[in-house]
Amino acid sequence: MNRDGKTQVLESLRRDLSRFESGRVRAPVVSLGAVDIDRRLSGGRGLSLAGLHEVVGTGYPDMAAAAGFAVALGSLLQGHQGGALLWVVQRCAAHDLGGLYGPGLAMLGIDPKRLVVVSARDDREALWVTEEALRTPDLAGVVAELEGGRAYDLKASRRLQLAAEKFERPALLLAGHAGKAASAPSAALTRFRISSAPSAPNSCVAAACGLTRFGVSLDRVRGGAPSHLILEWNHATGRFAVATSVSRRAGVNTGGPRPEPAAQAARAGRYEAAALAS
Amino acid sequence: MVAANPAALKAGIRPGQRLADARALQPGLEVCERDMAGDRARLQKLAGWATRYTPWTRAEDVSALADEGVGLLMDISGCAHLFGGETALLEDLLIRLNRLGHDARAGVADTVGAAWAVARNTTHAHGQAQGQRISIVKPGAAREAVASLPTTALRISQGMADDLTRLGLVTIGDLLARPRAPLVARFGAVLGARLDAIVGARAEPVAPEAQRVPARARLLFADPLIALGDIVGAITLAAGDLAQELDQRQQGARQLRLTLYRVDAEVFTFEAGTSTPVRDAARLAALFSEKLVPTGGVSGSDIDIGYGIEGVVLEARAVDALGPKQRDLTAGPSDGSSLDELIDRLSNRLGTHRVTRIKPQASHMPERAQLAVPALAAEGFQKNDVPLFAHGDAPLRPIRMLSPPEPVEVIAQVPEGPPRQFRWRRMLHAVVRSEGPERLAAEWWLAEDAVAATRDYFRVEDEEGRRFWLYRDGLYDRETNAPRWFVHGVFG
Repeated sequence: MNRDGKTQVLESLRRDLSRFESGRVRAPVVSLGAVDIDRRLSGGRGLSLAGLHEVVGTGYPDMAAAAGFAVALGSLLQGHQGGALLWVVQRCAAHDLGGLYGPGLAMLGIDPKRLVVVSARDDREALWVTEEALRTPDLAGVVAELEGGRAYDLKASRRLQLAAEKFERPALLLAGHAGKAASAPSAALTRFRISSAPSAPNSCVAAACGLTRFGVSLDRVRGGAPSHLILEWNHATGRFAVATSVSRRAGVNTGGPRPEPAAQAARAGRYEAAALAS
Repeated sequence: MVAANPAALKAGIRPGQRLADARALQPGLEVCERDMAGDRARLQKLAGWATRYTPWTRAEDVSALADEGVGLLMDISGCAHLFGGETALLEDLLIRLNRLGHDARAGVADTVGAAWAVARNTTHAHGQAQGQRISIVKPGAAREAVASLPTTALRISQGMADDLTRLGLVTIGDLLARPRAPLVARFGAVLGARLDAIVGARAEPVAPEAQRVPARARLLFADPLIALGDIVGAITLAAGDLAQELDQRQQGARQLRLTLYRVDAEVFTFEAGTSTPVRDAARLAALFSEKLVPTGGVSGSDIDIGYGIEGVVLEARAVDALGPKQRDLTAGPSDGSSLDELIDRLSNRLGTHRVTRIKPQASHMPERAQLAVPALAAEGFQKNDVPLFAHGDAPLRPIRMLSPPEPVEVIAQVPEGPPRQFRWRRMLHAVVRSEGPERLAAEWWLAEDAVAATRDYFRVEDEEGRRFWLYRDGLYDRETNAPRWFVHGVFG
């Protein structure tokens, strides 16, 4: 075998290897906005688009934060691919936290006009819809809420992971909270365990909330090590950042109504104008 | 007594008898209650089944004409030759009905009235055939054919027929020979109308059950299909035919109906809609085959194939113009059609109300600022659409909204001030940061808001970093003295 042949064989072997470890080398990714986060994820370059990612809450009260984190990731996907997002909802989450609210989603970064909401009866149906949606070229991704039934097991997660790899379309599973789901084995590329975190300091009013922050534990990362970070989501720029300082307890409420900052009032006006124009 | 079977008739039981009399004649008589709704449903089914002969088919009203038996009206003009003539059509019809367990008679005539009359009085009619079950009146011979029939054959009530008999008017011929005015004056306009209808002086069209549809494809099978796979194959064939028809007319289907005819006249219908006009055969077929075949743990529709399906009809009930389309050679992600296709499939599988889009509404009340509309009905999105909702620096609205808002117990420093701590679902949250109030007045111009109070909204964060949207219902001291608090949503 000559030298060229040898390099060819090596090349093809390398290709095979990278295919086996899909998500690590060749799969397309979307950057979360900061190198420090991206390098910790599977593949080391960002959130893999050809993969299944689980988002779970640390505890039951953290489910709102987990949903918020999924909204932020969904916003990243929408921005990166320019396509629509499919959100599979179930009765359970709507009962616990309420139904998806368009204006709020918009303010956190998801374009509601490019959102299709499918309500599933149970986990089986939610998983079926997810798998069907992964085949759709015009979708930027799928977010599916699971109730934590037995339908989502290792086999189901492997199925979704394979579909996501094949069609290079990401699926995010809002798979309940850690107490219920986190211990289960799964073929997902990543499992984000989210806890709520005090928001960033507000630049105008000390007592008000600032940019949204999430406590993010990377419980499992294929080809990576678990880690914990506080991430700050800037919905205006559509990027995550590692929070520089763990937020100090902000000033305690002093009582008495505060005047609304003029900018926020103006924004509310803009939303109403958009609604009127539609 | 409403009806009796041949054995009972032989024993002397007659429709119209009282039950006691019938029992006296035949103590062993088996009696069951008349099931009017069941009769009606069965007749409707048969009417659907009989569209195999002609689309102009209608079931008679079951309740009106109990004594004479009820039937189907079919306008077979222009259809009979397809089955080898009127006699052949009727023979085929009766044989099939007999197989379904129905004792039937048939009559053909120029007018509905005459056909009705001869079908029920075959022994009197001309041109008998087939053991006196079929009677065919030649064109133009309606008047002579019915002349000798009793007046009951006029579709008039028994009481009126009795009155006529008392006057010596026994046959229809007797009536036709009389001057009309005194008869109408004595018995009402109904009699005149019936007489006109039976000789064809008055039009009486058969209004079909089925609506006219823009396009339809039909497949009938000599041997019924028993396997689900074969039925799906048949649907694919029908979809191909339909697609071809739509292609010639440059149209695409928006609403579709699939009808499966089971051999025993059971009819299954399935409806499907599409978000954009469709005439791709594979896509049309997929709309229905998915409903029939269970996939991926989601069960398909339950149909009982029984002894088999003998006919498949696929109709496009609503169509839109759809120009010819050039296939993209470089297959790739594209014009949004794959999303439309997904929405179609999910909507048809799960129901249109479960696949929705969020539509903003012109209302400042948070719960009215959005509306879930079926994705099928909503306009599709364009790739370069500007976001409809403005982006901001800090989210002002929650990502999830509780509906209805849930009451919470709140402790505030001053009644009109922001909350200090609150208890929601038995969990105590100490508020460390808050912003507000954002004051939203009720929409007083709406009836349901006429008595609603003003709300003061606060965005609050507890010591764990959980963010909530709370509001106080009613202005303290002006609208209420004990304002109640609600949690309306959660932020991410």
